[in-house]
Amino acid sequence: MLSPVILIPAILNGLLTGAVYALVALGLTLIYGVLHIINFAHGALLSAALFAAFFAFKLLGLDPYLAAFLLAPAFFALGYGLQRFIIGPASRGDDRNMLLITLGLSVVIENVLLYAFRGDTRTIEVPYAFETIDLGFTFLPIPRVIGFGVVFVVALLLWAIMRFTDTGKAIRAVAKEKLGAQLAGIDVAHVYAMTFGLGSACVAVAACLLIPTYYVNPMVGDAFVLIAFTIVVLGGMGSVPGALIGGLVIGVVESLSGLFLGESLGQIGIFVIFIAVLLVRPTGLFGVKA
Amino acid sequence: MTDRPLLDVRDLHAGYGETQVLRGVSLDVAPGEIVAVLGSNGVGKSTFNRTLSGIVRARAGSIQFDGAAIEHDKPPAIVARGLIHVPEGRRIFPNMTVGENLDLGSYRRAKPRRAQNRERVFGIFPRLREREAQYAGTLSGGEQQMLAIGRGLMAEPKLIILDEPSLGLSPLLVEELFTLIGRIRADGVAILLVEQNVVQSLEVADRAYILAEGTFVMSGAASAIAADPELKRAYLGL
Amino acid sequence: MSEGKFPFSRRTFLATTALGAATVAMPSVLRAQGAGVKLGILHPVSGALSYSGTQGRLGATIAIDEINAAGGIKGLGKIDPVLGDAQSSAEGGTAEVEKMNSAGVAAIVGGYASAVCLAVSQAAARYDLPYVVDVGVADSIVTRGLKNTFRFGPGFGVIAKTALSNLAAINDAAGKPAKTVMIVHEDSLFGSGLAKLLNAQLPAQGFQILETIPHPTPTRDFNNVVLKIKAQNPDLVIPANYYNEYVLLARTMQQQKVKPKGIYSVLGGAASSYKFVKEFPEAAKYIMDCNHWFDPKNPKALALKKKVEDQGQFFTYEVYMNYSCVLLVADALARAGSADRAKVTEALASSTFKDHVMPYGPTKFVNGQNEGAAPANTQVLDGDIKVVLPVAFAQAKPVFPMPA
Repeated sequence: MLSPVILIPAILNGLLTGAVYALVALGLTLIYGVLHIINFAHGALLSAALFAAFFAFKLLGLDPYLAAFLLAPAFFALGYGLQRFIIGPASRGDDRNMLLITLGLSVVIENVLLYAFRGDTRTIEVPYAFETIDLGFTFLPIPRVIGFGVVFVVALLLWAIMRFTDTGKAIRAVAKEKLGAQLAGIDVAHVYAMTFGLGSACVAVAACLLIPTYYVNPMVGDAFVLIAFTIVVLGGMGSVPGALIGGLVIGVVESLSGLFLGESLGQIGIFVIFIAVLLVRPTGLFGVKA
Repeated sequence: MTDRPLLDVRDLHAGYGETQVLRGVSLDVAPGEIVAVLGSNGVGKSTFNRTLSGIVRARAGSIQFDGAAIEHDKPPAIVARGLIHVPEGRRIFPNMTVGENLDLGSYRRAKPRRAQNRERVFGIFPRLREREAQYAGTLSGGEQQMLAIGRGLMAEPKLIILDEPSLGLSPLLVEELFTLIGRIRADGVAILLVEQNVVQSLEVADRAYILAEGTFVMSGAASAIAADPELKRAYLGL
Repeated sequence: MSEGKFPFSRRTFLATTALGAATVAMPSVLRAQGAGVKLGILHPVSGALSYSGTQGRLGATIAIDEINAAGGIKGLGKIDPVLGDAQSSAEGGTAEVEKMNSAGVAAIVGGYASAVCLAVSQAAARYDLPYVVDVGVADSIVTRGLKNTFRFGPGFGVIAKTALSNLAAINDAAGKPAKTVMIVHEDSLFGSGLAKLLNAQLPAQGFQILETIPHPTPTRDFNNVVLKIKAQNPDLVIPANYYNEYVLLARTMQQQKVKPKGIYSVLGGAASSYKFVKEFPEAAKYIMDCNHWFDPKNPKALALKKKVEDQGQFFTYEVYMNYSCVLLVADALARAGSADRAKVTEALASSTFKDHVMPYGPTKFVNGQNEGAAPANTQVLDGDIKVVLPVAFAQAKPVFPMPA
């Protein structure tokens, strides 16, 4: 069972799957890092984005990878609007209220999806869904290789935005020093909304990467957010590199524990890690003490 | 005042929740002037500054800056007008480099002249040039204070509020700081200096206000206040 | 307008009165005059099982339309279907039984999933309401002594037994090329039960089981499972899971170029599905299945197949099983000559109905189970699904081992 013939491909599978987990976690950790709240609506937004990608394909015939160019801006705008006009104003200046509002939002979004599309599980069929790259010792599924690449492009893009644009710098400034940022003329409400928008755009891209080989129903996002939350804790709350590395680690852990413990118990490995991190290193791999 | 004042505060009231902190405060600053606001801890100096920069809402009274009423403006709009508040405790961005901190000083104002203003700040604070690529959180207290002021100067302020700039600095650094304050004024920037360090503030200021229990109890030429030992004992604890 | 409105109001009034009186006798009197007979058609048309449920409803309604087009049931008039949605859950099924009972149905057909069938049979028993199970294979559906419950199709035990003996027969005929087996099963009642049974019985047939791999439903990644299969290289892979997972497993095996000597499934979620064969012909090639299947030599079955395919739907087992079940109930109603529940139950219990489309022997209910029911073995050959066993219904000989 420990033969490298299985082990190496299983690790590769884990890395490829983990990249998409990382992207979902990236959105979550970004919002946590700046707004200091767990966005409970993250999973519902992922479900919504999967539906959007599904219908973009079914109704407009839009390939999911092309749809990403449409859905990422659309979900950026949606996320911006949600934070700017609903979550922000409703919290009345107390950031802790935002947490509860995102929780309420997730219930609303999921039920609207349930009402509109019922509980059915839907899939799309794209011709390349089961194409592979032959590495000699194993075959890599092309959609996952694409996903892996896209996640790193998105991460690089996000890094560049954070590093080189004034908006990115303002986001980082607000994350650590809100009053200082306000006094530098930074509109905190705008920065919060930008961050929520970026987090939502990450989710939209993740949805486009998932839909070719995954399925959608109104509750599908929840499973991902549980994993993404584990990644955020593992990588360090609010840490972008932590989310990336953590995502890959969790992908491999899930794949290997699926291999050794069986697919039914595969997720146990993830939650063992989650608890272990909380016990041994609560700040995560890349986190700093508050 | 012969000129129209740059900042004109009339009968300002402000507070938090049930607590009234400012009870009818009036003050004016002329262009290019250094005005000191003195007073012991807890008399409302920070609240006064925060009301000027829009962090705390004014409950009554007016604030005129550069000919416009700003008492209902939010911080970004106030910054855009050129009224810059360098807060107590520096409030620099520790997770960002010195260069990035300075960049954000010109986030709202004077952005096109970012490069030349950065040179100007480096001219005033040569240490910041040496530390440009370093994370601000790793700077010494004195350097952090320089960075906080430098960030304020990046916005080409018409008036800069320096909130307890000497707090926590060594005597040598305090000396250096007050020299620099003189230099900033030389560039034509008005300064509202809010300090506990009474002696040195009065040396560098043109005029001074003494704040006690939410209102100004005394104002006048800095030299006159410095010369009144009774006043200093009563309100400044000297 | 006013001319059409009056009779409608009158009918509504009568129906309401009948319900308001809440008597069984009153509506039967009405029906005896040829006013029609209500039949409950219950399927999970929403939720996880919605595809199967919708297909089942399609089969049932085609049968009803055909009966009504031919003048309805002799003496009783036309069938008035009362459609219900079990929402893919036992609770959903139970709730629909209550509604159908209130609506005064003469019998209920459907259920689809074993869990739904178990709940529905019990709820229906409270009202002595005859219930014909369309698919649900759990043996316990008919072993609890419920007098109202009838299953026209084969149960799990019969299917598994037939599957095992057919597998041995196919392997023997080919010169016993297959010795090792891996089982991939979903981890709920259906898959686990089957895996347990196979583990107990396959060694006696001369097969060695290398590994049994459970997985949850849904599972959207079979890469690791297929890696394990690849490493152990079994002669036979036996999948026991639902449609989505079955398709994914077969496609991942194709993707990872894993080619055992045969893929043999028992109640395979996709193996005998025209949808699967049409959409993924390469992955489906030569897959064998022991499952519900229609009689390919019955002209009535072929006519139904054409009718369904002309509607743009796939001819799945849910369609023809429900079609047959409705015909069975219609026959019982005609013989009972009344919608009286006790009489209908009696007529079903004594049924020898043979005008259906299944490859079954004569209908004979013993404790509610049709003893004549049997599964068929199919194989995907030439882009089509062919019956290979039992010989009496076979269209082709099994191709085993799979050509490389």
